[in-house]
Amino acid sequence: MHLSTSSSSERVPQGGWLRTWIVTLVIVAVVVTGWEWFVRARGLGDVAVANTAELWVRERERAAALGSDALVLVGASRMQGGIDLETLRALTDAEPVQLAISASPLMPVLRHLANDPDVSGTVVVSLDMSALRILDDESEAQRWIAAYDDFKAGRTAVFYQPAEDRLHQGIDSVLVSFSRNARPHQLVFARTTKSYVRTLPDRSQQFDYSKIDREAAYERRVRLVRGYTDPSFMEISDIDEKFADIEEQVEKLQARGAEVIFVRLPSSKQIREIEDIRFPRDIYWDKFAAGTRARTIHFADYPELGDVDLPDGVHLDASEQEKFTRALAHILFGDSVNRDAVDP
Amino acid sequence: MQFNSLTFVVFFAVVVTLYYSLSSWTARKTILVVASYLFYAAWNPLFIVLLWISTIADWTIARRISATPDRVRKRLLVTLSLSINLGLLGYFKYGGFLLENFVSLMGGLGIEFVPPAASIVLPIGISFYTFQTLSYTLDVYRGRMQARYSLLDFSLFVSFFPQLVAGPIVRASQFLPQCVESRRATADSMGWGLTLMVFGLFAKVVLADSVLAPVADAVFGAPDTVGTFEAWLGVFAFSGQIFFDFSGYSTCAIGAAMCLGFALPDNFRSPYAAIGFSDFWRRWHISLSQWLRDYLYISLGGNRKGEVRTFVNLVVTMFLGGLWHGASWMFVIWGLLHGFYLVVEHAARTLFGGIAAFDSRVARVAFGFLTFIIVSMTWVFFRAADMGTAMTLLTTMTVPTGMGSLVFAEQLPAIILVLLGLVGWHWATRNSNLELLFERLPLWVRALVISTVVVSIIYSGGGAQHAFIYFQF
Repeated sequence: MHLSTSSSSERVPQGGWLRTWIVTLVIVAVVVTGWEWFVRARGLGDVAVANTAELWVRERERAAALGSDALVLVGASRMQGGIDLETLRALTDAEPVQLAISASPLMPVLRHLANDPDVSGTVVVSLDMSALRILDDESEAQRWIAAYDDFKAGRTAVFYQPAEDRLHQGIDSVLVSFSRNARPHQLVFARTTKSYVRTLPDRSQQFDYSKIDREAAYERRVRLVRGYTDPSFMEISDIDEKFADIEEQVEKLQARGAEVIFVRLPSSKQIREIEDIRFPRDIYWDKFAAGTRARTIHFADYPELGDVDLPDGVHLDASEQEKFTRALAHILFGDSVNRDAVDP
Repeated sequence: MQFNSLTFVVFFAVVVTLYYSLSSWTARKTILVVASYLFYAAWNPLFIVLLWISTIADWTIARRISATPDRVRKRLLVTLSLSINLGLLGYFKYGGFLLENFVSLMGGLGIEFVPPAASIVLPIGISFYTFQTLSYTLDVYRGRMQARYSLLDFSLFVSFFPQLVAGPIVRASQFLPQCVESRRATADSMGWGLTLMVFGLFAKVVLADSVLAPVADAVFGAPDTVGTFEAWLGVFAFSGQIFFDFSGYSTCAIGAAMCLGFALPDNFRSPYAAIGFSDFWRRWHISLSQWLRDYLYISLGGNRKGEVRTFVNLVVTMFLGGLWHGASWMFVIWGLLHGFYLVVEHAARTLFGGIAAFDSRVARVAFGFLTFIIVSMTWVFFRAADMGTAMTLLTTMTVPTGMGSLVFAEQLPAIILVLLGLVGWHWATRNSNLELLFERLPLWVRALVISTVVVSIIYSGGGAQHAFIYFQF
């Protein structure tokens, strides 16, 4: 039949389509296999999943569904790359849920948890003062929270998401070249040399500094944190309001039986010096710790937390993750740590 | 279920296999109807009920209209159909918006009105299938179609999964005749259908999501932090993003339907090479603009009742066209602006239509360029979250403030290449099409092009996934 308007169906290019698609599939198979071989041979990429909003939404839903059994981790990359969830799971009766978001402020996530009546577990928040200076509205956290709210409101309800996740995980676990840092355009255009950060399906991350030049990574980090001027004291003019905002969320969580613990995760070398100059402990952390009803843990007070390898001065090397997680779990939970799983 | 999901790949493979493994045409159509409901239920199973209401109501009403010779009864029945369809659309799409504006109005009059808290979830694609079913009832009412199709055929027409949630908006007169006899794709149709699907996905996943969306999102997300150059870049990036996103979906839909032996109408024809706004609307979202023309503009009197009435009809049609996109004053402003452009163009054509210089090649290119610029600037109202964001961006675009911080410096070459390629491609295919080009290509070049596209899709997935923009409408 002919349509009253034009249609591609009336203009189908003729001839040879079966052969065209056979040749196409052969080329695609050769390219994918070849790239996989290249990536594996060069030690690029890693079996990992993409650190996406969808993954965060799934974990955020788990934080609510687990209720008082949840051990929710909030923060940025230090938290996401600092904790080995398997180890933590073995040491506690609670179920860890990783909600930290790299390079994002903590307040949007903390507020979101505080306003959710289903969240009543233990909430461990990585707090460093520089994160309080990031504007909430422009953060990845805000966008991922919006994605979760849309999902919960049914605006983006996707009932096939579990199937989609399984398919992706299946492919990701077989093909190293599908990992985020091993795709052709990333290697060609972004000049990424080696992938050293991998995100696991539980959203925890591992920073494997053996794959890159540690010194260069450290120098890059110092340049990034330091900027172009010598470090000096940074005044956060509305710090009292910010602390009050944090405390308001703490009260909401505690009111329904949740425990809130703030942790200052370690930094080292020049990074620690810069942080100490900009945000002196007595002016910021100690003032916060004195005013909050939540527990606070500063790494400087616990040698076992500071005694770790932070190649770039901020992030934990993957080889140290288990040791650090054990140390932190002992501090967090004391005698209630699962003794069967204590120390290998 | 999104076309750009692995689940859809599996779903489509299973549906095509089942569809072609059966010999009975009724059984094959049943497979497609069930698959279409599954496809829709993948978002939210409850909303299938709305599809059923729409389907049963219009199928029954159309049969009654066809059966009765009484004009008054026909009119009552078509009013009933309009009430049901527009009532559902109005409640789910505009309920919250109307309530919000009512509260504001009351507040303005000094009356504090606090409505009960209600969260109305917009069923995906409701605007598309509502317009489809309405086209059937209206065509039967106008005597242009016979209500002789079975409930199964009509259910397939309303729910046909390739175009169910984001078009093209298919008329009953285009689709239902295809349900009469058994349809099988030829090898050529299957090959070209699959090719269109991967081209559509490439436009969406690679060009819209990976290259252009990050720039558009960043600029529209923080308009007060960008310079003039970045503002223009962000606005052009959105022009490209929305084209690749929406035309990508339409191309996938047309390709998927073709693989099943069905023909869907074109929805885009090189819109960024349009010369003037009438031309733009003949090239952009063709199935919507033709629907609005045939069922709204002409019903209002079209251009048959004098010049002033024509202008009013144009503005009213574009106002409702804007509102069709969503319950927001920003869409209304966008629609009204396009209505205004059409009025100005009509008036200018009356005043200057005879001047030969305006028909020269140079003038046509200049008008085409001007059309693209104005269309792109008008997208600002479509994309911006609020009036403040739109005005900040438009001010930054028109009052030079420099290059900005150029946070996209690394991606700049790719962005500019894609945008120039888009506009260049539209001008090159202004009076042509992709099929003509492919017809001339030797087998190995076809295979090379398609495999490049497939590999690009494979390696650009897995990052941040964006839903198709038009799903929200």
